[in-house]
Amino acid sequence: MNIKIKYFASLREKSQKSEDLLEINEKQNLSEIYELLRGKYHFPLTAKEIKFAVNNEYVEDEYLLKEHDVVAFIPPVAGG
Amino acid sequence: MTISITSNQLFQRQITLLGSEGQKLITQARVLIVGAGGLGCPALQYLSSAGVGEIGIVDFDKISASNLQRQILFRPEDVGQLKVKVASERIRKHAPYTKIVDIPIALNEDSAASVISSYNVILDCTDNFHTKFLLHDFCFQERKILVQASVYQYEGQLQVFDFRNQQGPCWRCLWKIPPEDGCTGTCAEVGVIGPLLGVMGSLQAMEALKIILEKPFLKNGNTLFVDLLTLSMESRVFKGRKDCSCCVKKDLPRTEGIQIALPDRLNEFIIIDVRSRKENQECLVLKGLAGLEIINLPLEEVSSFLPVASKKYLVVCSKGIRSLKACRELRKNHSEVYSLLGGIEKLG
Ligand SMILES: [Zn+2]
Repeated sequence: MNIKIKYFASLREKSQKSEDLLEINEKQNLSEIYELLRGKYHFPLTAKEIKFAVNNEYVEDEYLLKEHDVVAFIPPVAGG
Repeated sequence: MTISITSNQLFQRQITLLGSEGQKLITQARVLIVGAGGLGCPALQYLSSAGVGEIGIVDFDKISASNLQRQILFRPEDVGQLKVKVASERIRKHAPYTKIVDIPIALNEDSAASVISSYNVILDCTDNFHTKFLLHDFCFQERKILVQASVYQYEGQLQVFDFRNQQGPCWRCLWKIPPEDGCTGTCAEVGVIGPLLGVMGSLQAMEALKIILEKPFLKNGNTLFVDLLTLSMESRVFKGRKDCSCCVKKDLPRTEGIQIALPDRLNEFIIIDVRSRKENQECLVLKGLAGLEIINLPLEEVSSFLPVASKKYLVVCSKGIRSLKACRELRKNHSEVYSLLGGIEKLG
């Protein structure tokens, strides 16, 4: 199954890209996908420290992904 | 200062758009801007130029050279001066019909409620999670509308929380455990692009104007993501959480009446010392006072403590922070519990 990933803030900074296309298997949940990418891009934050959104709604880890979902990984931001 | 331009001349374009009723609403509005930095400066410039009746500016920081790249209200000659002082002096010349109030303090649990109480709309232009959550919680408690923005490099996030009816979703619905400062890079650590602050601060000013003008504004439970690299603006929705400590359980940060100075009739109180057992052994001041009943109850054990209904308790710790936390916990079962303001260290 193919999904699109969007990176924000420190995650975009680390991965040096705004988006990724990813093939996943149906059983993978959002934290597993994130942890996989975290290994690849050396993201500083764990899955517990960020928020997930799918197609413009924040969702929890258990969310069941479907083909072509757009997943956003959103780290906390506080600059001003 | 003599004003040679009438308000009609000054606000003509706006009156054409909003009518004189709209301009009247703006004139009657009172907005508080917390943080006179990158977000606060443009918000302040636009809101004062629009003729907002009163604007309070809270900031305890001084201008540094590295601020000037994005805090474009300030000039090199201002370096070292208080931000609120320079900002208010400049804005007073610029916006003759706005009353500017300088509030050169750090917002904390003791000052927050009184600082925000007389304003309708509060702009969070601060740069750390601790202050952002503090302001959020007090806005909920005091039934204010909070317009919050945060930035990171090329990206910004905007949220508005209308707490006039103490309804969520609130920010704690999204972050059950608030992120810790230091978990993500600050502007100083990772850098930030100047125009982003202009965009985000202007969006805050715009939401404030919509609120003032009674127009629909960004709803609770929405985050607007602004990305200046891709020029995208997307909104994402979050739901309320049924066990939210803020908007559901209303575990509010109210400090009024909870914190007290050392009472004259100290012997009427049972002292609860919530420092760890190791620190407790060094308890000097209170043990020196004869006849006092002191209970050593480390903070972790407070939730299991059962107060005696007929007794009064004074909770103490080193600085008065843990004791305030313990006090709020104990007040769930007993009203006659107080926290020693400033802690034992203040007693000398
Ligand atoms: Zn909530």
